[in-house]
Amino acid sequence: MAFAQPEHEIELPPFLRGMRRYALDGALLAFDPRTGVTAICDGEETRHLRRRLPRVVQFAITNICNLDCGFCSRDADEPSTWTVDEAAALLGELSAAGVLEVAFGGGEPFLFRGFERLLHRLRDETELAVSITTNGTRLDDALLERISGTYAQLRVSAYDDNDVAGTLGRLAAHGACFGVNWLLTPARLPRLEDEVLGLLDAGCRDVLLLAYNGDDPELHLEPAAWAEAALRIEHLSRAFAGRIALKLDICWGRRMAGVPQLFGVEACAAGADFVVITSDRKLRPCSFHDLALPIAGAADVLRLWTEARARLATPATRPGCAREPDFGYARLGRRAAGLRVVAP
Amino acid sequence: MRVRLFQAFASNNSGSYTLVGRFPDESRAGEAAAALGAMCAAHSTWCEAAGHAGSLAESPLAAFAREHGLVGVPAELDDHWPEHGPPPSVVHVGPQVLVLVPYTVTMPRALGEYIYRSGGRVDLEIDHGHDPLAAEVSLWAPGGHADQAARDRVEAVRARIDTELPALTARAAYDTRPVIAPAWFRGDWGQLHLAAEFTDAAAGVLRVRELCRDAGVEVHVRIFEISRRDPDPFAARRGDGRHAPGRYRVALWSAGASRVAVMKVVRALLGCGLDAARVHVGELPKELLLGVSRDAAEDAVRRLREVGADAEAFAPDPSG
Repeated sequence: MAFAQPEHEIELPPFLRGMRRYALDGALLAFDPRTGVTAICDGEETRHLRRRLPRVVQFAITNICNLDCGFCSRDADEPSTWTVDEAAALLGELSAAGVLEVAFGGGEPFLFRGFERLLHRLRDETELAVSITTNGTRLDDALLERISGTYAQLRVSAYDDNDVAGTLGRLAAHGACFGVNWLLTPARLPRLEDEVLGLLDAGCRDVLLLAYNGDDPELHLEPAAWAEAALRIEHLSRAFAGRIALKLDICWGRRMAGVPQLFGVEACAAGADFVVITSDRKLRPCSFHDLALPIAGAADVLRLWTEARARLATPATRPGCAREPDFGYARLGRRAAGLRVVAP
Repeated sequence: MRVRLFQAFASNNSGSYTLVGRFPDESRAGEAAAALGAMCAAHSTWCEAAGHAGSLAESPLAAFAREHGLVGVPAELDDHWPEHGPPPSVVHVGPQVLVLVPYTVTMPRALGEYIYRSGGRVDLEIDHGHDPLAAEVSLWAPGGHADQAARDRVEAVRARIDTELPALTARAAYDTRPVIAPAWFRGDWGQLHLAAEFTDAAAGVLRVRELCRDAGVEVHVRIFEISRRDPDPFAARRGDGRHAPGRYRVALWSAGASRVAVMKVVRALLGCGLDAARVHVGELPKELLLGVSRDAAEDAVRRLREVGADAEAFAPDPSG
């Protein structure tokens, strides 16, 4: 029976055959962990497929950080309960089960004791593509040399005080695959073009524009600014096409509906396409969600992903969640005079 | 099986496709339009049935190419035909043939090839067109507008940028549209701005920024869309924003005895540098201002005539 094959037996074009496979609902995703090249294949052959585990695990391996950013959602005093061996074992089992990527964050992951050793083990023992979000302050030449070849991508969070240009210069000199995460706030919106241009100038070819999630109304874009921001992002994207890729954080939802996107404005995939593992061994749908389910190991991650799907699909209570019709702005109360959203 | 390949969440936005072919006479244009139109209709139907994927070998487009000896046909359907929007429309207007596709990534080269093969010329091909993008670069030097040394640095870098603007705003060889002259203008606070449609927006802005940095001048950049139908989208900015937009034009027929004095007025009117003003005065007769109000046009004419030039304000439509 040709149309009920497991995903590893489905015939793919020759150039996709060596890639890792991941079943989506009705489609097959092929992924090259080295380059990030991804193919979504669908047809009669894939119609029966169903997603059976998360594609990406975001791993907040430590909450410790050497910066103190006002918008950060972490409790920086909460110590990590993971060791290198435990984290490697968990991720090894998830990789063997079919998870494709791990995206480390935190906290500052390079402040996790033994993080370099963990990266080497993941390279040697798993098929995972490793992405690391970092403030870049620890990325000196020696460290970049030591971790060369262990990661697929480094993402540098751009703040106003962490010498992003210097970090990007080092990354470019080391031939690293890197991008920048840039939090788009009302105060930063007027500088959008200048900042993107500055990043391009510094060698960056990939910018992820993040939406703020949290209780500070000053950091949320007012509804009146969404259309302007979307238009300017679209113009920048077109003007710099082929030079720099502008990406939108999933939390923007329909706030950036005006920007052409690969598959349109998609529903938030937190808890389904990706899950978060916290430094205190909990499973969350996303970094901003209050739901935190205790886990002991990979088996719990996979079990809860199936058993707690409905809870993992709920909105986060923190304002900014795209699953809320008003993005949770109502919770900001009277402090947020401009943040009134008419639900669609 | 359909395969969609990507590396990241980059946009795959579609644009329009426009092809304008010109034939020696209307009858040949009509024949070409009929042949192209029939092929486009048949090929659209075929693509729909094929699910917009797969080999083009048995397609109406491939058959058309074989019949006319055309080689610009891709092997696979890929992005070479509208998938979501309406099929191509092919019309002929007098000796011209227009192929218009409002929503596609690209179209096969064979369409233009056919125009030449059947005795015509391609006047214009806009592949994946959106309205063009322009950049507005604001310049300022530490010290502010009140500081003479800062103002001098800004003026010096303006002159330097002026020398490179022709190269940075030149059209590609295939693009027959006239270049839109860049506009220098001052904002409400005396800050100097440059509006330009660069050949390559990123390259243009980066070069201006590099020149400014070398001179110790900071820049701020905005990217915006300009209408393709607007003959001078920077009209309202020229001459420090003194020209209110409208439907009038100003033609400079001759400079008269004092070319230098005329160049100074041209420079002020256009907000351009001295080199650009020299080029304008050397290419007479020339439309200096496009799309300005009647008052602005008449004011410009008065200033030009005061220095001995022969200038005229007019509206393209007598009723305007």
